[in-house]
Amino acid sequence: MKRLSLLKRFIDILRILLIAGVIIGLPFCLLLLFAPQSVSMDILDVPASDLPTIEIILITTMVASLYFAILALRLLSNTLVYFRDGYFFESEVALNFNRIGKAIIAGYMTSSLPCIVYQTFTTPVIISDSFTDWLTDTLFTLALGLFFIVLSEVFLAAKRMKEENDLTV
Amino acid sequence: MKRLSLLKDLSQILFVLSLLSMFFLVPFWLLTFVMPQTIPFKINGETVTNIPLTTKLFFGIIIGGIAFFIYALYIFKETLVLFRKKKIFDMAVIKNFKLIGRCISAGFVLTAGGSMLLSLSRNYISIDFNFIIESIFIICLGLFFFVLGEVFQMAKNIKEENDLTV
Repeated sequence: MKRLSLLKRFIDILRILLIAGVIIGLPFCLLLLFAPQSVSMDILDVPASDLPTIEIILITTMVASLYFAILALRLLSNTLVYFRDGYFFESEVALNFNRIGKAIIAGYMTSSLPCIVYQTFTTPVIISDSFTDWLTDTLFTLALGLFFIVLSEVFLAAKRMKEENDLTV
Repeated sequence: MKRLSLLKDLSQILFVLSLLSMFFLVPFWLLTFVMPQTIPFKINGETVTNIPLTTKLFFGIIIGGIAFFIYALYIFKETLVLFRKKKIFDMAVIKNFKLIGRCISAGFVLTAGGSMLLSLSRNYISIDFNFIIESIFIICLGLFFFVLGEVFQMAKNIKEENDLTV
């Protein structure tokens, strides 16, 4: 249970960092989109005013899609509270795992997929990822999302088993 | 079960790709010690013969960390096979989850430690937001598997009670 508390703490820190990232990143992206001349700094060695609008939109979408990661972390944190209180086989736990899986996959679909499509058809200025990075990231994220969905099915099965057990006793 | 098969296929592909990268990485690393002059290209703008021994050793630590991650992936794949055989609350699954947690933690310590030592040896010190986020994410992933192992252990106990009462 010590590990559970530690995990919860780390997840909460990660969530706060991501929220801070969105709070700082989103207005900055919108500023780049609507008033690029007001940004005097270079973004990855490219002057802000030279950035293509489509790439700024893609980056804004990526930052906005952090919402899904924050949602997944919040759900995981809630699930750990259930675990800490000894409720392992509640339907909420299974439901949360299912939602976490879907949030991870949705986050990937809204952030990385448009970038990959964009990179396939054009030569990007700042958005660039090698093919192997793209492939491993895609596989890892989808596998993680699916793992949580599989876990939700496993916990549903465990819940049914526990109910049977309670009935027999 | 369809999702389980899909997850198993995805992790299999990821495992094969990771293994392939190791097949290139390990001989290349050994070559930097034995015959550095045979490597025709530069690494970070530096010829391999000029790379100091400590840097090569720190690279070795990072490769060791990657090996732990690949082993964790292999055990994860094996656990999915157990799930498919309907062995869910089984001792093997519990052991596997705990082992995955240990491997991820060891992999993190080695890769993060190796990267930091490498940066320090090259007098390149900086705080990277991405590095912090990724580090916390990997620590969480390792801890999550430990917690899963504990939860599955409790489920197994309940199942055994169930079997005894019936």
